[in-house]
Parts: sequence; C-alpha cells; structure tokens
Amino acid sequence: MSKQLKQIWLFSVACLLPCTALFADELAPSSDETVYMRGWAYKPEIVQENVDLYNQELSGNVDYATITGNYPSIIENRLIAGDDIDLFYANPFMVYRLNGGGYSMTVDEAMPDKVDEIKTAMYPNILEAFSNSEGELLGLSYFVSVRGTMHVNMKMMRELGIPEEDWPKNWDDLYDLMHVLKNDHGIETPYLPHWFNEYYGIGWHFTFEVLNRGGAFADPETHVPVLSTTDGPAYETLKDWKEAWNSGLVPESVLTMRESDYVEAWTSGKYAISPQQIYDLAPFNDPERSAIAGEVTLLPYNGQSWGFVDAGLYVLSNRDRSSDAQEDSSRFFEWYGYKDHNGDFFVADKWVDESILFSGYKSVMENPRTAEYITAQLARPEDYTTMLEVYSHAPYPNGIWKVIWSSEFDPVLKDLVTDFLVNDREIGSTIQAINDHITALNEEYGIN
Amino acid sequence: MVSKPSQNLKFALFIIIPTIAFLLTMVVYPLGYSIWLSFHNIKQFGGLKFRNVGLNNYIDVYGDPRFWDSTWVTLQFVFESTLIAIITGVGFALVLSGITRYKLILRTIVILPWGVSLYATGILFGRLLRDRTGVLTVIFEKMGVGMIPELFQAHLAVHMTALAQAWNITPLVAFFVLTNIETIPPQLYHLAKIDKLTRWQSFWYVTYPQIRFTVFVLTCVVVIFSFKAYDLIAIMTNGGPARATQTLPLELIEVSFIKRNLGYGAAMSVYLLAMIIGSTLLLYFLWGRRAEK
Repeated sequence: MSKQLKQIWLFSVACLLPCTALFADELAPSSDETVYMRGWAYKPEIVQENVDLYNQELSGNVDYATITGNYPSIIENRLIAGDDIDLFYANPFMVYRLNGGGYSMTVDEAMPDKVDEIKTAMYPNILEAFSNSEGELLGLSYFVSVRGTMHVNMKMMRELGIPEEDWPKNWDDLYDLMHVLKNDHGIETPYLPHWFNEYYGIGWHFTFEVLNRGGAFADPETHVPVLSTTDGPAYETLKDWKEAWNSGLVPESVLTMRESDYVEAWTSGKYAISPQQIYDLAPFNDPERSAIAGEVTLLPYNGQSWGFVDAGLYVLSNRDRSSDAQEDSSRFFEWYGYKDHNGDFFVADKWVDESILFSGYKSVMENPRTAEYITAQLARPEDYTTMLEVYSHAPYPNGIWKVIWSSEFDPVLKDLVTDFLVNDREIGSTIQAINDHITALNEEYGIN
Repeated sequence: MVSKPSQNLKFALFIIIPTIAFLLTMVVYPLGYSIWLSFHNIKQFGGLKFRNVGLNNYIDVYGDPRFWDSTWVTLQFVFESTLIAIITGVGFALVLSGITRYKLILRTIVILPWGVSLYATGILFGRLLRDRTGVLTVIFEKMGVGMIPELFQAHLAVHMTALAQAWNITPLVAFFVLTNIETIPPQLYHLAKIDKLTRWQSFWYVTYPQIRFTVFVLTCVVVIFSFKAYDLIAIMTNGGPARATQTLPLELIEVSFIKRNLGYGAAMSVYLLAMIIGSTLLLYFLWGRRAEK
C-alpha cells in the first residue's frame, strides 16, 4: 500500500470511527433493564449467537429463549397474561390479530424517528403485507419465503425419462403427471403433499392451492366468504385431492407427520415432487442433510405461481414496562430487525448465509453477495432466477390473514380438510363448512 | 410433662405439614380453579372476561360428538396399552425370575425402555413405523422384502400408539412384579413340584395369588398413565390422521389452548378426571377387593 493510500485509509477510518461509535451509542442499552426475546425454535443456536454478540459488543441485557408447541396460541396466551416478553417472532397474520388486540406495538409507535427510513428500505409488496389497514408497519422483517414452492426430484425424473418440458405447469398437470408416475412407472406414492398434521400443514396447502388456481377464501375488505360449493378453485382442489387420496398417489402417513418428519421424508428421495419452503432448497441440496443433494430443483412460474408468501416478523410487545425498558427494547429491536451498530443488516445477512432466508429489505436482496451466496447452495445456477420469479409472483391470502380472527381459522380449516379426505366427506358440504366458519368468526368479532 | 403420644402427634404434624402445603398448592388449588373455570365462559383476547354459565359447558361437552369420538379413542388406547403392558410385564417378570445367567445384563436391557421419555418414545416409534421412510421399511428393503404396510392409517394408528405406550411402561410392570415374585417363599414351589403341578398350575395356584394385588395396583397405575398420555401421541401422530388418535388429553389441549375455549376445556378435563377415578374404582370393585384379601 502506498503512503498516500495509507493516509487516505487512516483518514477514512478516523472519520468512520466516530460514526460507528455514534451508532453504537444509539443502539446500546441505556439501563440495566432486561430485554426478553422469545421465538419459535428455528436454528436457536444462530439466534443465541446474535444475541450474545449484542450483549458483548454493546453491553446488552437481552434474555433469549424459544417457545415450543403451538406457537401462535402460546405466544398469544403469554402476551395476554402479561408475561415478560418484549421482542418476539410472529407471522404477519398473527401480528395483525395481536396488534388489533393491543398486545403489540407497531414500528410507527416504537420507532417514530426511524420508521420512514425503514419503510423506504423495504420492497413495496412486502411492506404492504406487513402493514395494517392504517398503513402502520406491524414489525421488522425476519424472513420472507414462499411456502408451497414445488420442489422436484431431478434424479427420479431423469431415471424415469421425464424431460423438463413435460414437468407440470399448473396444478392440473401435476396431478396428471403423478397418475402417470404411479400407473405407468410403478412409483408407489410419487407425490408428497404439504398435508402434515400441524395448523400450518394441510390447511395451508389447501389455502395456497386455491390461491394458485386463482381463487380466494374471503373478500379482502369485508372478509365475507366467497368459496363456491359447486365449482371453482376450491371445488377443483378438493376434487383432485380426493382422487389423489383414493388412487394412493400420496402416503397416508403424511397426515400424522409433523413438519420436521415431512421435510425429512422429502430428503429420503423416495418422492418425485413435493411443495416445500423455498429456502429449504439449500438443505435439500446439502449432501450432509439429504439423500438427493444436488438433485432438487423447483418448478418455475408459468402463468401460475406455486405456493404463497410465508413470512416472519420481529415484533415489539405492548406490555407494561418502564420507560428505560421501553427504550432498551426499541434499541435492541432496531439492532436485531434492521441495522446493527455498524449500519449493516447484520442479522438479515446472516440468515441469508445460514439458511438462504430472503429478507424484506432491498439492500439485502440486491446485494451481489446475496445472489452469489444463494446460487452456490442450489442444484443449478439458473434456479436462482427461477426462485426470484416464483417469489415475485407468490400471492398472499389477504381475505383470511389480514383479519383479527386469522389464527382461529387455521386449526379448524385443518380439521375440515383432513376429515374430508379420511372420512370421505362431500366436496360441497366441506366448502360450505369452511364458509360457515368464516361467517361465524366474522359474527363473533363484529365484522360486517 | 408432655406425654409421649402428644409428642408423636406433634412430630407427625411437623413432618406432614410441608406435604399438605405442597398438595394444597400443587393439586387442590389447580383442581379447584379448573372446576371454577368449567362454570364460566372465558374471553381472553382483548381483555380477560369471565361470564358464569352454570352447567352449560358440561351440557355442551356432553352433546359434543368430538368429545365422544375422543373418548372412544382414549378408551381403545387405554385398554390396549394396559393389556399389552400388564401381560408382557408379567411375562418378562416370570422369565427374568427364572434366569440366573447374565441376570444383571438382561434386567438392564429390559428396564431400558422405562428410561426413555415419552417424547423420545414418540419419535422412536414414529421413525420406526412410518411406511416409506421408516426404519423398518429401510431394513425390509435391504432384505429385499419391500415396504412395510401403511401402519398409520386411520384404523391402525391408535393401535400403534398403544403399542408405543406399552413398550415404554412394560418395564415398570415387569420390575415391580419381579420384586414381588422374589419374595415368594421357594418352599411353595417345592411343594408344587411334589404335588406334580404343571407350569401353568404352578403359576395360577402359587405365583398369581402372591402377585395379584401388585398386578392390580400396577394395572391402576398403567390405566392412569395411559389416560393422561399426551406427549407420546402428540409427537408420534399429533392426533392424526383425521383425529384417529385424538385422545382426550390432546382434545383438551386443542380446545383450551389452540381454540382458546378455556371454560369448555376445563369442563372436559373434569369429565376426564371422572373417567380416571371411575375406571380405577371399577377396577377396585371388580378385582381389587378380591385381590387384596
């Protein structure tokens, strides 16, 4: 390095250090109050590392723990009980409800000086999904994914002689191909649907398949149910499901699986196709975690999207706390969910590195490093473009997720569609039961 | 001067007061609170509100087909897991009592399942039995036999969960019965030999009368454990497929904490408690009274 360059470098560092110190000062806690962070158990070791870093570098007092079990109901019950929770994870539909009940603060309330900057840093469609009807931001971006992205076992397709141009372009094609794989190629159960036994399993599959076929459950403004009992996307979906179930295209045990069992079943390589999380393309192509590593790709957008937007937020609770605790919670909230004391999207970048979790922030997603990092973890370089295309077309179920009763709807939807399959119920009566439940929830909460 | 009985009474009170305090805090209060909740309609969201509804929750639960479905599943689960655990437990005890070689190793092997938590048992059996990706299928495929049949179908799943529960609890039965068998005087077996009793007659006329009260107590214990079982089923099938393994504890959790109907769930829990007490009393009147003689 030349002497002149060294001088420029030293001068730059000298100028930047006070800025860093300023950020650090802004984001370090102002008191000894403990900030309680709670979340679901996804890679808790990474979260703990992040929290430890904040505690060490900025002398923070953050206490982190996971919540296992049915997360939406547990976190809601704990917030209602006034438990020590300051920062927590939530899906947008959960925050919509919690904020409506007065249990969470919007970013506009928690960080009035920063909220405009944060909103500008986000993709408009994500900002819209994360905002309430007053346009207030409900939380900070944790991840954005597409649940129901159609993953394909290339190895099996190659061995069966099914070229890529014959892969499904829409849901009708998919069921046709699965019948061919079973009847002509002797694959026992070629299709592993997203029918696992969790509130976000089979019910969410039904939701995204209806959306992908161009349907909707309820009016996004009035929340009045709009599913037809005689035809349309919901009817077609259930018709195909019944046929798939009765023809043995799917393993019956999927209805007893938890999500981890379901993910593990797909990595066994015994299935041809399965709707999964878009970010799981990375572990599915990792030889240490998958028997089909390097062989898992995704179906592209072909005038019809696959799956729907599934996102996570960091949310600040609205519990009674001292002004010091409020200040420290907001500071950690900003450090964790937005930029760190160096002005970097530290946590968001780390999730890209660790799990290819997409972010709602433009700077994270448009960083060339992100593209390079994600591409390196996929089976084929071109899959990155396909991912972005699928991501940009994925729908969001506004009618049933941007409403206060959303988390009460999912467990019932799960029961109704599972009962439909196993106990051979009528399509029309099942759809009618879904509509009736939406109407009952609207009445209970005084909507319409 | 304080008399000796009075001193003993004070000492006894001194010892049992912490136990009574513990029971009041950990049993009586939650039970009482749960009964109180069962008479209320509770709204938590948006501000806690209680409304007295009298016996309505009990009437609604009684008329709820989901409750009766879950009751039927629970009874199947309890009956099968108890039957398997008692028969295999007594069987193991008899076999182990007759073995002298490698006694310690064999006893250690038999007790191992009891050391596995119900959560881990659920994971173990889930992985073992799941059709396309289960361990048994992998083994069968390696042997060229192919896949095992689908064991988590709606009409089979409850039997699989009962099997897993029995696997976990059998060692408890085996070891208590074994301990009891080892207290039986050897002379009785000697006399049985002189009388030329068959093995079955020796068991029925010599061993069983000595262990029957232990077996009765263990049956009650297994019945209670099985009625309460939650984590094993939640992990193994999560109540599926389509509620085929939705026992009352799973239904209670769903109603109370997922569907957030606490009063209704509390009423259901009182029914469950009545079933546990009722079945234990029934066992006592049908079998226990004679067994303790």
